Amino acid sequence: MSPDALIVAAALGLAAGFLGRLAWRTFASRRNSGCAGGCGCASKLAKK
Amino acid sequence: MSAAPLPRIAVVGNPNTGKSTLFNALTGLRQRVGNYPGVTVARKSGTCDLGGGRLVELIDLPGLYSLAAVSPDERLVIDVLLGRLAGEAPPDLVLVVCDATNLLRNCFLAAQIAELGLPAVIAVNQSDVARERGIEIDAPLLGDRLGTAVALVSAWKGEGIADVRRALLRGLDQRPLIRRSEWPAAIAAALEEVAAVARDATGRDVPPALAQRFLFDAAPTLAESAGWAAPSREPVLRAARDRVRRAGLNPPAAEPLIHYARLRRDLEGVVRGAGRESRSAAVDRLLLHRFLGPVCFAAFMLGLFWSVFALAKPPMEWILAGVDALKSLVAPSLETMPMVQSLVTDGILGGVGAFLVFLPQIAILFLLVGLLEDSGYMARAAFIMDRMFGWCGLNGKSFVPLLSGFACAIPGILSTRTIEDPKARLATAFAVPFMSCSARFPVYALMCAAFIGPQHGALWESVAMVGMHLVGLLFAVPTAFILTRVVLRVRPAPFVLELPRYQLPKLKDVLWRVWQSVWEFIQKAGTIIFALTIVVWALSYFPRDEALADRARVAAVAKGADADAAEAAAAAAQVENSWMGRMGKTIQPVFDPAGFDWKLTVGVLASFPAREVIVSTLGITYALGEETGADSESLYGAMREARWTEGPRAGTPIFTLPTVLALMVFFALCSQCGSTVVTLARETGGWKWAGLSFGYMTALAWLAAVVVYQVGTALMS
Repeated sequence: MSPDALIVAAALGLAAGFLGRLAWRTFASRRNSGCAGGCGCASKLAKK
Repeated sequence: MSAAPLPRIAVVGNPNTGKSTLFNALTGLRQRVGNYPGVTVARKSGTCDLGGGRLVELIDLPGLYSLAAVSPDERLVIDVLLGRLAGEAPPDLVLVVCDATNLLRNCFLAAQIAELGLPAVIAVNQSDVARERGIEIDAPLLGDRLGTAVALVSAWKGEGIADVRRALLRGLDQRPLIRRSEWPAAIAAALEEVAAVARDATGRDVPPALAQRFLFDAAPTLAESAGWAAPSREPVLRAARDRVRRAGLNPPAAEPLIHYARLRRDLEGVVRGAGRESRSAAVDRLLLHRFLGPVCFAAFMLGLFWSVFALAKPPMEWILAGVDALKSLVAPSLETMPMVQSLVTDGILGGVGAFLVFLPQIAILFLLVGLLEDSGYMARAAFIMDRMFGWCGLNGKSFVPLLSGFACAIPGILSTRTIEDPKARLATAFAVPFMSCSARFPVYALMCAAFIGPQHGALWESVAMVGMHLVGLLFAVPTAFILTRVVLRVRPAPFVLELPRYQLPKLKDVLWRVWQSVWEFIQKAGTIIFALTIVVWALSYFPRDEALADRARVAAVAKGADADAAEAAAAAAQVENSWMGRMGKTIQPVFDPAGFDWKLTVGVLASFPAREVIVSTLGITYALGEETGADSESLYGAMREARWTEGPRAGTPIFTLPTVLALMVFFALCSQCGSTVVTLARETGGWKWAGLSFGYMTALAWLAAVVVYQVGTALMS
């Protein structure tokens, strides 16, 4: 794999991982009792 | 070894007494925000130094007019004061905050607190406003009459804070009880009877204040939450109320009559000066006028958006220039890695840059809205909205959540907790996402910057903005009407909205809130938008087909195109062949009646997690379809130049006025925010209403976009 493709694959993997984690926290996890972070406004209520 | 817990002081008071301002002045930045266990009401507490290193914990409770509470946050106040919350003992002291300009009504709550038997002191806030109106308050005399420490304070001006600290110290040391009202014999006997039966039925001690709530309150909310079941409760309460009636008193009216009669005596000589008509009242005669009020409101909104566009123009141009400079700086150094070069310039800088360019508009919008809020005008806006849209059956309290929804639907939905009727709360939460939140702003702003502004000028940009904010309201109102009147059959409830006085906004507070919004916007650009741009770029970049690009290049040259145009044709062919292009072309027929081409379709689909994503998605798809390194301004140019390549509209511009308006209307109405849907599901206790809201809003958005496009096109042809 060329360095070019390797960097792009790594960036894509990180981005997909971040979005997957965010989707999990938003839709499935009950960890945040208010907003799950999409807009960030109400998540302040949930954070101590 | 853990430290001994700090003494706890509960801060209670009527809404709009400046209770939270006083709480902030006493605690400074030492605050914690959390949730009460088992209930969805925010718990705000902070540490306060009363002097000499004597620390206490202050708990800021939701505002309420009376202990006859029905809404969840009002009920919570009683639970906290009675120590009925799991793991929380009753507070050591209560600080009752009263409004100096309306002392009699505010002291009613103090009289009810007295019945709880908790030590309490009083802070008479807004003393500066009272002084301005010619009202003089004799605090020591009031303290003597009520039997507790009374401090005069202006939390807003920071006057008298030391007196409040001294009163709290005295309260903790001497544990004074506010003098209780004397109940007529019939009521006292009825209360004893109620307390005794309730104690036997629930197996818990029933303090006199709770027995009063059982006897006087028409709603059985507190009795039910105390676990006193209706079969045991109703005959006892009926008999007790009959006993009160036989003594010539009306049970629901007896409590205020007795407290107010006593308080009028207590306040004699304490409050001097009748008070002049305030400047606020004079201004309100115009701003709350039945006809001129809404006209002024519309003029304020037009002026607000016009200012946003006019003031934000130069800084937006600086950001555009900065992004372009960054692109030309980075692109040459990545020439050996064309894939990474495209990812950075077209994907990240193209996508995130297209989004970040709206930062000045967001900052100026929040600055102006913050100034209006702090000046006291926004409460008037809720009043005007109530008068204009109250007929649709929404609870009066619904208009504050609806107004919050203009900033973000999530706090709007969360603030529906102040509505006591669960059906009215549901109807309001359903209507809130229709309000045009700030996330829609970049979408409207992109369309205004690319089309409406250049073609029609800044005034029409403002008109389009106000129009889009009205579109949400125009659909929310009939939706609420059907929900409240036909589906849920909500009973109308009385509405009390206290209008705060007009005041000069505190620039520091406003700037702090602007910074919070700006930081949130930047965080979003650096996280969600950044990650999504990488994914959208990859979907729009792969798979690469060099043979296809060559064919497009050759075809363009054969038509007489120069080298740059031939490269652009090759890039456009690659984007059309990408996964995103294929997906867009497959789904495009669904959005074809609304005039959306495949790129707009892709933008709409990518925006379902968060609606602003369309801006970065269009930034990427148009940047990839151009030569590498195209500047940001060319996004607007490329959109203006975009033409249909096939079908009956081939060769005509994609972005006509009907298409632009259809797209804006679609975004005004569509449910494109994952967090809002989840919050709605959590607040309504399941996915049924959230799913219904999503389906209804999305279908409505599609239908409205189709109608706008079809009617607009027919009118313009």
